Amino acid sequence: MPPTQNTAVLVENYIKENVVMVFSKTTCPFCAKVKALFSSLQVPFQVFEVDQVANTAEIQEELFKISGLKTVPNVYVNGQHIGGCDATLKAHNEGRLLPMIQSQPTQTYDYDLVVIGGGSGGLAASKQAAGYGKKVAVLDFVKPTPKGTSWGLGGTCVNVGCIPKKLMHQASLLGKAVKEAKAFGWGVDAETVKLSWEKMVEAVQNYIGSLNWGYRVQLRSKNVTYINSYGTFLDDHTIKAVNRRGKEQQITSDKFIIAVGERPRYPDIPGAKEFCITSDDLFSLSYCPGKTLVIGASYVALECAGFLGGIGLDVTVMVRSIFLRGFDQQIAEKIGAHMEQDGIKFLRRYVPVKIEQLTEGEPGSLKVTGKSTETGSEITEEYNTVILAIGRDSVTKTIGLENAGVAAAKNGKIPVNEFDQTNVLNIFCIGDNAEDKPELTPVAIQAGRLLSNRLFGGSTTKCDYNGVPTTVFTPLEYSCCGLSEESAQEKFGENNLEVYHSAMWPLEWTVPAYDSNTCYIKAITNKLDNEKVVGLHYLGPNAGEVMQGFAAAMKCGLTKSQLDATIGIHPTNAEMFTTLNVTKSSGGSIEQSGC
Amino acid sequence: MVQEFKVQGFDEFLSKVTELDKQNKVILCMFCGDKDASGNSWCPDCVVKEPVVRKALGDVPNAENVAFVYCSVGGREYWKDRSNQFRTDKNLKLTGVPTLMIWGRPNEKLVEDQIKADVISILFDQD
Repeated sequence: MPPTQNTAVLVENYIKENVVMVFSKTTCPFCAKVKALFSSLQVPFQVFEVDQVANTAEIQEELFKISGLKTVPNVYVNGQHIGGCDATLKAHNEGRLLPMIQSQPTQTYDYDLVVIGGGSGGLAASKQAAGYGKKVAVLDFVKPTPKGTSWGLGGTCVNVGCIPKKLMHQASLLGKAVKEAKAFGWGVDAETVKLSWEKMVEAVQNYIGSLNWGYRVQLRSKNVTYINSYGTFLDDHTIKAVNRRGKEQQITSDKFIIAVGERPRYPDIPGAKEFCITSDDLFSLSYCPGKTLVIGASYVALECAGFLGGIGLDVTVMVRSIFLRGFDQQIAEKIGAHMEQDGIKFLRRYVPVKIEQLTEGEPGSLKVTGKSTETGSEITEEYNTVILAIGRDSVTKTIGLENAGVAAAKNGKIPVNEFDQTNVLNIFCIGDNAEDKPELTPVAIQAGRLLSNRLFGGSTTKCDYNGVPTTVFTPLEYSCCGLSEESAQEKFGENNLEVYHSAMWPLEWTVPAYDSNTCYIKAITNKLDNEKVVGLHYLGPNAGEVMQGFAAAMKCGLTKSQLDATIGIHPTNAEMFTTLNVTKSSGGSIEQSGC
Repeated sequence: MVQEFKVQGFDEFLSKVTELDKQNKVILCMFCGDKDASGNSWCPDCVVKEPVVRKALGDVPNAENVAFVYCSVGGREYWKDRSNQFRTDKNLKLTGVPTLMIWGRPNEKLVEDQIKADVISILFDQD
């Protein structure tokens, strides 16, 4: 070090310019202990051995002026005085040391935060972080499907999920409404009313296009850099971003959020990738899919089958085992039964074996061979289109997690702690990639916003992943909040539950003479906790709109007696929740027969 | 320098963009409420945003290939009519004034508050 430099400035600069600064003596055992601690934490630290310079006394005098401590070791983190060996070890044992070290970038990076994945979660987190004046970039890159389908900024929900599926569900409900209209006196000839697939797709895609654009404008307005490139970690602070034309750039960041989402799974059978489509292709398909086989019984499968059937197509669903794994099974079966009544065919306990192309075209024709899981016997059938909806996988296997040291499960999910933090301290994960979390857009948005509030806004609020309501937009919609009956039994024991239920006949179903016992509601309560409602289920029209408010009530600890004390809105379907009086255990009749 | 054209009403607008389209111009369109005799639009946002857009014209890439069409959509009463042609034409589908957009990209508009000095360049982004 330059001998002419003023000692005070020298010491101050050391403290200021190093995240971890240790003033030490080569011979001091306590100094060795402190250095060993930082080494073991793999934290870069600067050491000034004061016994190796001529002006040792002067420096120690300076340290005394700053910290009131003349002895070594004398430790500073981010300019803040920690103390000697004991104080440093104590700070570490109390878990204060690392957060202090990480509270500020150890060096200058290109960005404060880089979010990999511009879906619901990533966009929410990035905009929120930018609101705190942070330098933020979002990488978003859609690898085209095997069929070549691609889309814009916004992730699954906007492009190939919630938004197009609900709009197409609406298209199918409207078709049904035209038929009902006749019963209400409208002079429409329902038989001649036909849907144009091309016009529906164009309208839906136009809306999506405006959403993609809106996200880009929002990012630009909030000063978030949008990079339309595929991001791969090179180390825990560096990613490589490659754009569509193969141009590569390296970007460094203090923190990262992984939010790359999921893509549909393809079964390992002949013809799957060559001839089948998935929900990634369906919503922008340029031609009407015709006679369609949907493989799978996930909500994606049933929703797609539902609206395709609803717009008048010949639809079959191939189901390996159960409907809607993870959802309440009583209701899942009711959904299946209703779809069947609606004309959708089911091949239950069948798995696909191979898909062969008979003729090319838009649509062409395919021969599907399936096999019974019970008897092993094979069946074949011809379809125009086969949609695979057997599940989705996190696309985290090709983003260089190993280079950053981020641990992931075999299925690509990333374990996170309650702070959405991965095993690497500066790398976080939200949305569908986070292990054991609900895979829902509003969950990702909430998690993303709260994460940025914690990282940059001094907040301590964590995302509450419990009591998340959701809706399945099958022809007969289903919404729920809290536990399924199976999960509730597992958690509280069957004997500790009281389940109230009722069939329901929507007023608007009476005139068209729809069945009076198809719609159904159920409240699962915990007898040991003042009959607190632990699961609420609704199978009927406008399910999402019905459940949202009840979800808020459940957040407030809703009990059965509070539900009973609530006055209904008449005539609605939701009011049925306020008059539930038949328990499952009583075996009482729940049939509806009019007012 | 970006070439500028002023048009009044839907028909004039359509014939101008058709003509410029044939010349393969990138056509940046700004839709505003009509101005009164003193030169001020009835739409206060238009008054605020016009100079912002004009300033940004200086930074437009490949300016020699870009045409700027300033379109006065009409009086307040005409504009408020939900069925006016600017709102219903499928190539425009305007929802508000001022709107800034490139002709041929009806889903990519900057409307009212979105028109900001540091945002306008997004209209010319390649990706």
